[in-house]
Amino acid sequence: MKKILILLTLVLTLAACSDAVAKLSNPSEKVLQIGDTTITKDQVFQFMISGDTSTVIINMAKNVIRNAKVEVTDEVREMAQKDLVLMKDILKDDFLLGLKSLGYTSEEDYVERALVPLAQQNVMMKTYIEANLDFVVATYYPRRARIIEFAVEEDAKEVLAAIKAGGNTEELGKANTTSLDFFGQLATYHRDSNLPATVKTFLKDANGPMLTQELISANSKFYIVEVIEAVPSRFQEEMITSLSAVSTLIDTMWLKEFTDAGFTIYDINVYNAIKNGSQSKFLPSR
Amino acid sequence: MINFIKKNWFIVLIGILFAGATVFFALEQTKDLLPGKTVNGKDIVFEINGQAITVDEYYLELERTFGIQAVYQLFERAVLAQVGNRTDDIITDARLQAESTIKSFKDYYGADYETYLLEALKAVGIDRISDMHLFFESALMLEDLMTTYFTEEAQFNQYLEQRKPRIVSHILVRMTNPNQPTEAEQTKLDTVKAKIEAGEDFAQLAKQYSDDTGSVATNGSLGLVDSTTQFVPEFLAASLALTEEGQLSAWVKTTYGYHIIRLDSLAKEDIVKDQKFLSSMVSLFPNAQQTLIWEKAQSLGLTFGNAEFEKRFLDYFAELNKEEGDE
Repeated sequence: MKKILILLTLVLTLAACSDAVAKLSNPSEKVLQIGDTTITKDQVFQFMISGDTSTVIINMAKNVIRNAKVEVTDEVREMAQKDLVLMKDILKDDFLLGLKSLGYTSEEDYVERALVPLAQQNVMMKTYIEANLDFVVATYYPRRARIIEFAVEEDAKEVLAAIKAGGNTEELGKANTTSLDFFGQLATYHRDSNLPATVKTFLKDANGPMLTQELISANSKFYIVEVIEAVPSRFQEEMITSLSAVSTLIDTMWLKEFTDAGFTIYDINVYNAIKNGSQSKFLPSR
Repeated sequence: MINFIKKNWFIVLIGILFAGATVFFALEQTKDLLPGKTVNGKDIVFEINGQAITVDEYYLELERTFGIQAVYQLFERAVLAQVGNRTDDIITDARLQAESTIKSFKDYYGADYETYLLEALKAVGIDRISDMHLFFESALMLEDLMTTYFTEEAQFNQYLEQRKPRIVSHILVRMTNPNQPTEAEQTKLDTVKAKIEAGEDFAQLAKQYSDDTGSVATNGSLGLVDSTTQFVPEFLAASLALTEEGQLSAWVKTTYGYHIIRLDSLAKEDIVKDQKFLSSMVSLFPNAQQTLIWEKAQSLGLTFGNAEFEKRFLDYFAELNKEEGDE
């Protein structure tokens, strides 16, 4: 009896000495059979988890939060439909081919699995930015501005002189630059905008409407920057739309959501997949 | 009981200390371990926002994302294991490739090589290092099956028609500036020209005079050349313009110098045994591997455990066959 008790104690002690591995409830279920060989669910599962599954795991977790926080209303579906129209317009005849290459089986599948979740995320981002306005503004310093980019310094100097003389920045930009990104259009810019650091410093330091008195040069390009509005509360809607697409801010929002939602892992393979995969920032502490 | 404890106080004390040490050891061993969780008899992989995600739900999501590709790999291996020609040569080659791979991992990763090797093997569906030869056997049997398929009349004739395959050799007289040969370069060119005109053996001349270090060891042979071979355009055009076995081209000027090219063979057996044949055919028939495996699987008999997955799997192959037909 004593021996049995000691043995049991040891077995129980050793049994608890490994990380948990979740097991399928029906691992030997047939997926398919070819001739005399059966491929089981567990074989397929082991094969699949040998790759980087972290994106799938994190998306599943995000879906739980998205669906808890944002109901899929007609308004959300309308946002998804607007994005669909935009995508079709950009990709034109390549649209369906593009979807297939991304692993979507149809337009409906794309809307349900990509665009509706994106619309939900945008609603969450709006709420997050509104609730953390001071932090967001201090970190990303959004500005409404017109920027014109030139390849030739002389062209830039002429346009800057014309603007200083009272010319319209947007009209002069459209008429005098070949840049497709910065031609004097009114837009919202921020810390993560794809701009040279010197231009972003000018934007950050601008506390009100102002025009560059000298050209800003960077990477063999020349910039004229006219800040139209530096007080975010006066262009809050545009600011939220613009910042909702900033990946670093999206990550910040999700990290907070994951912490608040008590993300806890109960399977060592899932833990390692996140730890070693592309989504390691979401790894909770053990 | 009290009397028993009083009488055996030392043994009881040892027992209590032992039990305490066991509990401490167990706690110490498990404090950093990831705990598991079960809800309604199902294992949980994670919890978020109070919602538990089971491993079965995780499987379904993975299957929707990676399932077709994952199953295809296992499916292909199962088909090959049943229809592949597992010859002694294949078994030997597979073992040699496995040994060579282990050696490469040992050389590169040192003592930890098994961890890295296992990781790489898992990605191709192999769980143990001792089973690695099975992966190579499968790959070699597939190669064998594909070669047989590509030598069938329909596929081979299409290759002949579209890519003009042939076996060629050449002799290169390298020049720093082909437009202004040095005296030595010109002398060498004249010597080779004279010997060729005198009817001397091309292979021997290539071995003796060619400046192409890549082909000199094979007596000037470049092996299989077809319309997709990555050669300088003047050289490729001259190679493809030859029509008779043994025919010599005129001298061809390229950025490397002057070449003379000989058409060695147009024979199917020579083309098929060239190492470049398979890759050239695969580029002409990019979906051949999957369609061939599919045909073999159908002959073996194929049944599915789930109708939804069956539809997706069949659609995947139907799409591949459609693409193959479109070419």
